[in-house]
Amino acid sequence: MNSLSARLIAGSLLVLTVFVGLTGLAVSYSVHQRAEQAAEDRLQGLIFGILGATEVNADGELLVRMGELPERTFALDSAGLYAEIVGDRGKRLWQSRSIIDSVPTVQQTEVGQWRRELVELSNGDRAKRMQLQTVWELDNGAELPFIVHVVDARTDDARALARFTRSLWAALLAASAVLLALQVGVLRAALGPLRRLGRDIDAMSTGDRTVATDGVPIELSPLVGSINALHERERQRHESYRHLLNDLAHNLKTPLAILGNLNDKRVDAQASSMQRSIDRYLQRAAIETTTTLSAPVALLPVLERVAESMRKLYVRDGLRFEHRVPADVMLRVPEADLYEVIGNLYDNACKYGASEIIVWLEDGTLHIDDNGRGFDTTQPDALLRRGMRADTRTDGEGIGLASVSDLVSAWGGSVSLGKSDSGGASCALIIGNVVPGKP
Amino acid sequence: MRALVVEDEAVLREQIVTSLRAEGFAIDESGDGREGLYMATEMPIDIAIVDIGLPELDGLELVRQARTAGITVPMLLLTARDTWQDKVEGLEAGADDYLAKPFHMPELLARLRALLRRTGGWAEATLRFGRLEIDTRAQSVSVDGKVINLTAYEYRLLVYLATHGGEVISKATLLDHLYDESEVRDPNVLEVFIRRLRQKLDPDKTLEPIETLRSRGYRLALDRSSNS
Repeated sequence: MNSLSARLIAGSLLVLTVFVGLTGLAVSYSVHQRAEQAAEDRLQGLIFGILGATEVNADGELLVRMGELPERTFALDSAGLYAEIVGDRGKRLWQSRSIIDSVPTVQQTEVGQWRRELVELSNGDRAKRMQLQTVWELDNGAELPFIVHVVDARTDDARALARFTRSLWAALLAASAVLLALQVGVLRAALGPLRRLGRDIDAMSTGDRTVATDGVPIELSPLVGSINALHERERQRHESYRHLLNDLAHNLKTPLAILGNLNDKRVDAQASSMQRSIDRYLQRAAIETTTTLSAPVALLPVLERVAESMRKLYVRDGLRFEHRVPADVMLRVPEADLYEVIGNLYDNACKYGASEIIVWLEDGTLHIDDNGRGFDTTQPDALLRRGMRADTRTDGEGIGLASVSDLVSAWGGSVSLGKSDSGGASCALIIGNVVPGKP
Repeated sequence: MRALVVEDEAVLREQIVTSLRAEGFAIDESGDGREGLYMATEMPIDIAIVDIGLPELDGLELVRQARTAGITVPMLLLTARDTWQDKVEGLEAGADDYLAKPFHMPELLARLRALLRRTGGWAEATLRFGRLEIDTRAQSVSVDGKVINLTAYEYRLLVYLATHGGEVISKATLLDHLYDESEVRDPNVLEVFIRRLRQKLDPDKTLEPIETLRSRGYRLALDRSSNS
């Protein structure tokens, strides 16, 4: 069972079942005990009442004054309550009017001893019987031993107890259902921060730098801190690898420049081959770097800085850049990649005669239109479909555009080329990961 | 033209210096950033080639401090890091162009020529002054379409005057820009070069390309052609 919720709910269910079951049994047992005790007390009371209404006449005969009996039901036939006084050797000395022959005979016990039992009547009903064996001392000094027993075959108590038991279990089941529902609600509320944590960690895959610490329960704070620290370490390690790779590649470039200028064609060819390999693997490393660890980058400053560089590189009267991009737009992409994409596109535009470059953002798509010579081919998108191998590319516009396409694809977007309204090049970068907000 | 080369890798620096000398440049060179900055601010250079990765003071800082000190000569950065972010940073520091390593010498020379033309307000590689044309790519000079054979010093002298067309250039300035620190400077030799240039460019005295302004210096007396 991998779900924390399922575990907690199953655990709660088990605890609830055991608790409610034991509670039900305990209450039921206690009530039954009290009912038994009450019945016993009542039967004893009846026996004491019968003894109180009993007297022995001068002939030594035992008489019961019916009018003094504690229950009128003794005087009624088939009332379910029976009483009998049995003398020595089982001789019946008195019986209530209600007595039935079906009552089993009593057994002798010690004098003064109470005996309580369940007996089965001849009609199959079960009844409670309470008996007391006693001895009266007569005036003449003789002793009159006898047994008084009362049989209660009325079923009201049993039915009431059965009703109570049903009600008890029904109430306990209802309470269990309510408790379980509350428990589920509490669980959902308690697990809310965990779900949010999960969403925050998911958001890291689309570029969030840290898990938000606001409103995190204190129990989860160490976990969130650890996740953020791990993420930061991973980001730094990533950066470090990238820098090491770049440093290695860049340190090789000066010797390659020397080799390439030795005026030896064979050496030059090998140096060029090495250079292409370096470029290819550097580009692959850059492209295989996901945007996961990227902080949001403000778009407008990048556009303006690159435009300023273009003005310097292409000293041309009237070279104009129009950036219709709000200042608070941010992109969740590696900053260096964004410079690379914008630099390549602006450089291409300027290289191919543009004097006006207009940039605007619309529905997650960055449009860059110019009034230069445009693309030579009628299917400019073909320029983007070159393979990953840098060494199959020829120098010129293709390298920049294919590189732009590779980078934008790595962001999860795509590039579309076409003709601008002014007849120049039109480039649409479809990038979903636009993040509005203050830089 | 006098160029400053600041590159810490001695072999590459030597290759650049050799190529630039062959191209007619007078050279100042250094292997570290601090000395390079001193040369950039103290020597009468016309252009600087600066590697970014330098000991003592990195190339970006060298360019930044040189600009702060008021040095306006074009500066080209040599960089092993050729991402656009690096280029933007280099250009913002005050460089005028960049060249990514590894590069071929003709490419470097072409960039330098382009920068020098841009500084002189020339859009094309060929400087035209009426009948006189100087092709900076081919390093050839022609008058009325006829190629004139010039020595390296004569060519350097003519190009310097041409890229400062209309300005009066003193003998001292010309010597500063034609010779590097290691070369012997002799004003009399300069006069010889001027005389030879006049003879080669204007044997029949109909062009009169170089004007001498007594005790002030020399000036290219030809007007720039409008299509240049």
